[in-house]
Amino acid sequence: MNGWHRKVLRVDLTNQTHTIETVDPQFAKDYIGGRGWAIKYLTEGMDPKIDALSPENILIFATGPLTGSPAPTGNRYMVITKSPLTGVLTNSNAGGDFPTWMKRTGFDLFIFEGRAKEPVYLWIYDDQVEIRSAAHIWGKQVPASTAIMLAETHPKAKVACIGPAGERLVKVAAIMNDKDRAAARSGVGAVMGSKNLKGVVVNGTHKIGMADLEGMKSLSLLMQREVGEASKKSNLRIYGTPYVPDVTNEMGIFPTRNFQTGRFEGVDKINGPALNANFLIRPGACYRCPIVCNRITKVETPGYEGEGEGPEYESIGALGGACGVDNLAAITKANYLCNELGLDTISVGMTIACAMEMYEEGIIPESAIGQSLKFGDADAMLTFVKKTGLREGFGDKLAEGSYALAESYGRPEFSISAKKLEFPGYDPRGSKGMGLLYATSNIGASHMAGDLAYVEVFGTPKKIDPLTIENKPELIARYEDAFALIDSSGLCVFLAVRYVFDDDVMLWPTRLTELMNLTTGAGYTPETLMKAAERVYNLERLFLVEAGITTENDTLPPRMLQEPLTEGPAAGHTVELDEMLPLFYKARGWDEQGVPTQEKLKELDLA
Amino acid sequence: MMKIQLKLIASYRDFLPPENGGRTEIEIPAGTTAVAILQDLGIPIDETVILVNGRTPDPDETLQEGSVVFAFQATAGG
Repeated sequence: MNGWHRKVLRVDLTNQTHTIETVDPQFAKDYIGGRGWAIKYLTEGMDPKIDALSPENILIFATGPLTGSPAPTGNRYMVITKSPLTGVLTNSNAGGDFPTWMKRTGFDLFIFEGRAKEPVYLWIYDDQVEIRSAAHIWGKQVPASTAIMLAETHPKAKVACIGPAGERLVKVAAIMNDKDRAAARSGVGAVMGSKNLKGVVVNGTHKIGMADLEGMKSLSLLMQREVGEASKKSNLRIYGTPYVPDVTNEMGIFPTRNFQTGRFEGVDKINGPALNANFLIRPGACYRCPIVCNRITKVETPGYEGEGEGPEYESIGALGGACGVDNLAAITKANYLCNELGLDTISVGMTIACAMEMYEEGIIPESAIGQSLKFGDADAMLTFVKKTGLREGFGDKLAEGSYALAESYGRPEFSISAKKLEFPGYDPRGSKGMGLLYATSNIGASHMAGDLAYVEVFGTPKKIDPLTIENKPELIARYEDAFALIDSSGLCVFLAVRYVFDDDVMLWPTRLTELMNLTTGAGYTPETLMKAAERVYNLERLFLVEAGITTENDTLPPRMLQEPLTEGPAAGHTVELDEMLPLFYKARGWDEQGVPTQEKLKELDLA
Repeated sequence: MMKIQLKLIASYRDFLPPENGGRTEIEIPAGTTAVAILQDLGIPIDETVILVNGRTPDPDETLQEGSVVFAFQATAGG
């Protein structure tokens, strides 16, 4: 079989040993790869109830069969583990160069177990696996850490590592690769830090076999040209994701002052045109990507100087709108700090926003914070990004995430999160399907878990009404599966939703099946591929059930359920979760407690 | 005749003169739809997301005095 190497590297950090395992061909096909393989290894390797920061947690880096293939945007990997922020599963996705280079080592997955006694990093060059001391790198920021590990290994190698935030077990810490790309969500960086694993350096010579090399080259070239041509004048090439604040603000769903409203009066100062006019150096791209949505930027504004990548839409929403901040220099600088310290821009921004509201409400006293913390105070936002990453002062409380922060003052309702993961930048009161997604996703409130904003907001592949709940339960079930499929394949969602599924709201993977078969030769049909994705999604759900999650956890903050938006086109709306949730369970074949039925598990070969 | 606001964002800003920054006020006869206005500007309707007052309009919905027509190229999001 091709596409997959069918090899897994298992590293025991406690005993400083490693083993190489071969993957059964039937398992490879049935679980697709990437996120799909990983949940199987996670389920079989650990008790879902364990403390996420204990050595018993397992940390998995996973590439898919299309990672490193000729397919455009086949450059993604996923980090799968139990989250210390949420207490449930997480799977966090990143692109860049690292995933392709990881695949070239000849392994599809790296599984990290145990805890090293002292800080270490791994140098993996083909089958040669070295566990090296990282004592001299510990404490350093991501750019410096990356440079040192490259200097000590190979100039053409690629690095994924944590910064000071992950080392300090900050629960909103990211794993950064190629310096500026982030597997950001759910505190995966803290898990890496808990294992005393500073970084993973990869290089290799293994080619990725193609079942039909000529066919794959031909289709990939066709797609490269098709997407490349369409992308030349696309919003994502010209403005990157920062084109989005104008859209969500118009719809009244831009996260504003901790989701108190969905319209931000300062949006013109922090949108794509503002970024282009002031800070954009040039667009950038992940490996073999014709879309080119990255933003290479530089800020020369006194007090906010820096350079790097970003900000993305989500970072602008969280560090900007949610904090009431309309200073784009400060937002961009905060983004750089997050990349350097190794932090999730979404959860950090939303946690500071939560603290700002609780400060203004008089629930968190100034004495606890050490200064004032009002909405719109750009410098306070920046200060607490840094303090969160370093666990300094009040930052030590912010480092636990918004739910733990709000709960510690007896007011968890101020945390705008689901399963304790902070919301991304779409207020679900004006995007109802997103509300159901946040409430039910296996990792908490992540748009990446089944992004219905594609159709509720962006008209890709079609536009649907975001304010109705009609068909949303069925759509969310389908999108969660489709995104599990994309994540397992190794493609980027930006390309996948538009170019490898049929041009229909109910995503159907006709072209993705072709890509998968040319790559693996596994003989998938669209039906077997979607069935495999559903298998993956249900196995993930079983992990949550084992961890203690019930239907009571499939919920949203009271603000979303009881406080209607007061302005804009979604004024008067809340999320009708009570109506959607039972229909969603039914669409999934789960019982009223949200547990997959025996019948469903048998249908998916999971029982 | 009635006045409406037109907002074209991101790549569609180029359908208006650069100094407009994608925004303008126009006068239209009663009974005009958002699609008709955008077609007149040469905007490819099949690839376009259209909002009227922030909401998805019905295809034959006519504009009213003060309506805000907002349009952008359908593409992946954030």
